[in-house]
Amino acid sequence: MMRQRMTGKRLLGGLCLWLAVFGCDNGIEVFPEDPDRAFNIHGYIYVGDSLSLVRVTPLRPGADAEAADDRVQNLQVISEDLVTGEQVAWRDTVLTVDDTSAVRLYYADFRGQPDRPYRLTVSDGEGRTTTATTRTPSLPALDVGEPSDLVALLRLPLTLEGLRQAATNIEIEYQAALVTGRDSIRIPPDTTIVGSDTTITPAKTTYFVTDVGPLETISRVYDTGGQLLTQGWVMNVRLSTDRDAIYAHFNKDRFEYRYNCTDVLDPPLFPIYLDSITVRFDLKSAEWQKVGTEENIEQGHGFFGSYATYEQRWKLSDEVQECLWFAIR
Amino acid sequence: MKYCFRTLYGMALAFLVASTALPAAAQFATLRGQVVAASDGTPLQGVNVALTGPDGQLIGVGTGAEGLFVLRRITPGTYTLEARFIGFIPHTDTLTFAFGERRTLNIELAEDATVLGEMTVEDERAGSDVRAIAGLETIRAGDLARVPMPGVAPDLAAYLLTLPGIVSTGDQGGQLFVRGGTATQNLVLIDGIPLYQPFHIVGFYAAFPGNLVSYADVYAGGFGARYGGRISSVVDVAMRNGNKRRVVGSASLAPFLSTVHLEVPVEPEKVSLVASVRESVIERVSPDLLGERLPFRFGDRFVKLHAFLNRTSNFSATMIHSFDEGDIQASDETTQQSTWSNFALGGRYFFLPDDFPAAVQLSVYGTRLLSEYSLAEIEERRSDVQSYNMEIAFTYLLGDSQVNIGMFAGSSLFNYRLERLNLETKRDVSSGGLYLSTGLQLTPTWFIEPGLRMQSFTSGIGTAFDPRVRIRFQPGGPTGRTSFSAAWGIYHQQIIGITNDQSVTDVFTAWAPAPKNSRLPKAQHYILGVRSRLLPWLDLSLEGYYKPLTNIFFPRFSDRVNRLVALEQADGKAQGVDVRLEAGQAWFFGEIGYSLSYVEYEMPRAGFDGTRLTGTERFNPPHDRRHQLNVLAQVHRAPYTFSVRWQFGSGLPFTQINGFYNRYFVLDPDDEDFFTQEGQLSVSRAERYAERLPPYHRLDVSAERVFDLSYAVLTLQAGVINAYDRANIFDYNAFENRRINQLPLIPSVGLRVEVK
Repeated sequence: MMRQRMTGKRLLGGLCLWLAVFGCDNGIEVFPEDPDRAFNIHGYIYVGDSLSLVRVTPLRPGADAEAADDRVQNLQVISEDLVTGEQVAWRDTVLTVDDTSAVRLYYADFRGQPDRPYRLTVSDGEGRTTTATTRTPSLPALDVGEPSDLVALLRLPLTLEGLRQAATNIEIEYQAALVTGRDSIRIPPDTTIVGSDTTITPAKTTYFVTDVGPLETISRVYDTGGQLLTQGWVMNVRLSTDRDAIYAHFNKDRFEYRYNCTDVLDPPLFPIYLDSITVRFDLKSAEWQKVGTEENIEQGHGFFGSYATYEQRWKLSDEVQECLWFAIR
Repeated sequence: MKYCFRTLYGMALAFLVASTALPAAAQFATLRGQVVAASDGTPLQGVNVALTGPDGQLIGVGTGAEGLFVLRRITPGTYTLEARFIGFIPHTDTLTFAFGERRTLNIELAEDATVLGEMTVEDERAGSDVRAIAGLETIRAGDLARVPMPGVAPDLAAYLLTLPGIVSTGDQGGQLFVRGGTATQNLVLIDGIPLYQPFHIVGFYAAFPGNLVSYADVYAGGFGARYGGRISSVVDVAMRNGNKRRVVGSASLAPFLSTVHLEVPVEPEKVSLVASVRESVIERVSPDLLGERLPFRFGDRFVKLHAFLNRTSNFSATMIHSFDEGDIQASDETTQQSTWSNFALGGRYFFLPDDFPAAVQLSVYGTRLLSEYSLAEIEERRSDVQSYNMEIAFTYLLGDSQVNIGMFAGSSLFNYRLERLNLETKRDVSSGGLYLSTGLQLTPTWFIEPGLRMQSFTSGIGTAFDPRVRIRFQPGGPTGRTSFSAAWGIYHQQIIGITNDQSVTDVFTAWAPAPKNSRLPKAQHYILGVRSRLLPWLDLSLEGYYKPLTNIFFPRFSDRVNRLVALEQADGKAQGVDVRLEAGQAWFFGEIGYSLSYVEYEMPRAGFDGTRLTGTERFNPPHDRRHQLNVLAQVHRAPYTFSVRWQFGSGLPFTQINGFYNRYFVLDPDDEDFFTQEGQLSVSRAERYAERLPPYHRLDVSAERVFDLSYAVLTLQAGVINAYDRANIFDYNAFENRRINQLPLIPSVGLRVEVK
């Protein structure tokens, strides 16, 4: 009985002690001592230019913008090429917006390489670190298909092979020039006798381009024209329509060519020479498709990705050029 | 599923036909009837009805639901009938039964004022054991007065919070969480009419008058097939009928709530009307009384008509209108106003025919909840839900056993907008179904209640098929001291309440049907319990439960202020143990309740805009109170009554904040505005609900003195809520960096006048 009483007293004492210790605790730790997020990063690495920018802001312990302390200063912002291990320290600069607020940006002079993983690390001296990774878009192979129609409106299918996302800001650039010099060769008539059959080939004059003016670039905006298929990004180059624009660019009357390939004159007599065609396009890294998920950002918030502008060049076949009434050299 | 419907209907019809044939086949007489309170016609459960034969043989039974009883196998002869119930004058009669006679007898018991004082406490406790089974607590009108209140109006909401397993996130908001379920998973019925928002914005008060509650069955889980549409709990409240003999009434005045109620015998002994008006005054008196503003306004209107139509039937109609408005955050910077109003109207017709072996009840109701939420005085969200339902239920009594069959059909209209910029969504859903449950007293020690509920919905929501069973074992028979019970059941919820579970101060709830072709929220209840009378004055109740939860809708709000991003489905579990020790003496009542619970949700991870991430996250939702302790004591020394209540709850989960930042929208490399734009204020939250708020505890005391005058009873009460002024945290406003506490120390003086 005595033992039971002692046990009861102990239990009661333990309960009182527990209540005294935990029941009186009335504080609330809203902000953790060691937060699992530190910085807010917004920006991207650009493949195609030697300057990349990110905006870095700290997570602040209050909703007011004034609560942003000076933690953003003296930060270390470093990018690392995860293949070569090359590290680049980014420098900061302050922009003044609307003559009132200051925006702190970090920039680096380096050109991102295609299909390369990079990691950006932002850290302060107190152990707070935020990292973000991205892989720059790779340069897709170009497949030039057969023109869809050799009679009227010529369309040329292009495929940027293997793309899993849309190409944007697409431009088709034509490198063309005025024909400035021609020459000709006269071929005399020829008589061929085979057995009792006699074939007479009449005399013929063949023209050829001897000189062209400086190549000029005629740019045609396609923007996002095309679609994403299993083989990649597929689009059509509107050759006939663009040919009109090229003729217009060189102030050539549209009556100097015809809209079909059935009665093509001697191509070297045509006034414009088309050297090559270039397709220029932008590709975004995978992060742009998942804006908001912040999957590639550790211990922070924001957006970090990469971005590239690529181009591919090719030449049209003589047959297609003739059909478009371009001179052939 | 059609096959299931046909099967169930077939079973029901076959059972009815068979039941009708049973008495004819028997060669004995049968006595059936209903026992009601003479003053207001309220059906009385647990009344002992017994026939004593000429040679001393005894045939007895206790009244069941709706006060119904049936005595079978009565051999022809003359008997003495006695109906006894504590607090009422016993009814005796002499009845002579002929061979094969079937007789219906309705008994009215008159209240006995002489025994109401000292015997009530103990014997009510004895009576409560008659229906004791896992998950069920029956609350009687007298229980409500045991809880100290800021005023003299007893209320069910305050009493519910003394029960183990029932958790509130705070004094404000009117949200109750039962055994790990959410507030919108509770079904609260007032005279059979569901109220979508059954509690007022100040958590002491229900949306209906406590002084007119006759009794309430609180099923913390394991409820039978009669109830459906919710997966957590049921609170089935029976409101008192008006006095049929004389005009009585009462009025009370107190800092929180003032009330007036009146009972009128429209046609003496037959038809009564009871009406109540309650209105808050705290908004007006709080600046002077407390030195701070409590911006809450609430009130309710209640009317009930009850009529004995004839010897075998009665009718009742109930109307409730309640309204609430308030700013729980009460910030000078940003107002966050929640308003809601309930309107419900229903009628019940009860018929106990002479020639039909079952009692029939026909119920019709309509209920509506209109709620709005505005932020900075701009209406952000709005919800309007209306439901109309009709049900016919048959109760067939087989001595101590009974069979319940019900069929119901209804329609609900939903009209809600969860974002200011969105269009309102309108949907209407019709449903119908049936239930079958049997309460079988297999032996004096074993009672089993199997049941099945099936409900089918339009609009692609699907069909729920819910088997349930409850079992009770009393080793010592009905008079034994100990009973063991168990319950199991499957529960589905087709109508969901969308709330901002991230912030307890955002009490807006939009009711909506489950999205088309989504999986329905579902819970299984496993309950094991034991109740024992340890001493003649001491009862122990112990229950353990385990509830797997699937497809629970959990809204995800954005990192910006209260913007709903997505409605996601979580799985989880709730488990725990509830212990209750209750001591009752003539002058003393004491109760200690302790709950240990654990609630866990698991759901897919998502980004700030609701986009799906890889992996899942597990967390304890914000209503997961691990420990809860309630101590309630009342000492009665006429004409004084002293009450004290102390409650303790361990801290609720909350999500810490890493910090604030401005989010910029980088959608295209060509748009470099994000380098200079101001951005959108966002909050970075740490791991979800990984930390806990400080524990909650509060002491409430009250003293009451009754002045019994010749024409009225005056009750004067003085009390203190939160007597040691504990600064219990309610929520933390992250955006304003401001802690919101629950109610401070509130002294109160109240006066109630009851006209005799």
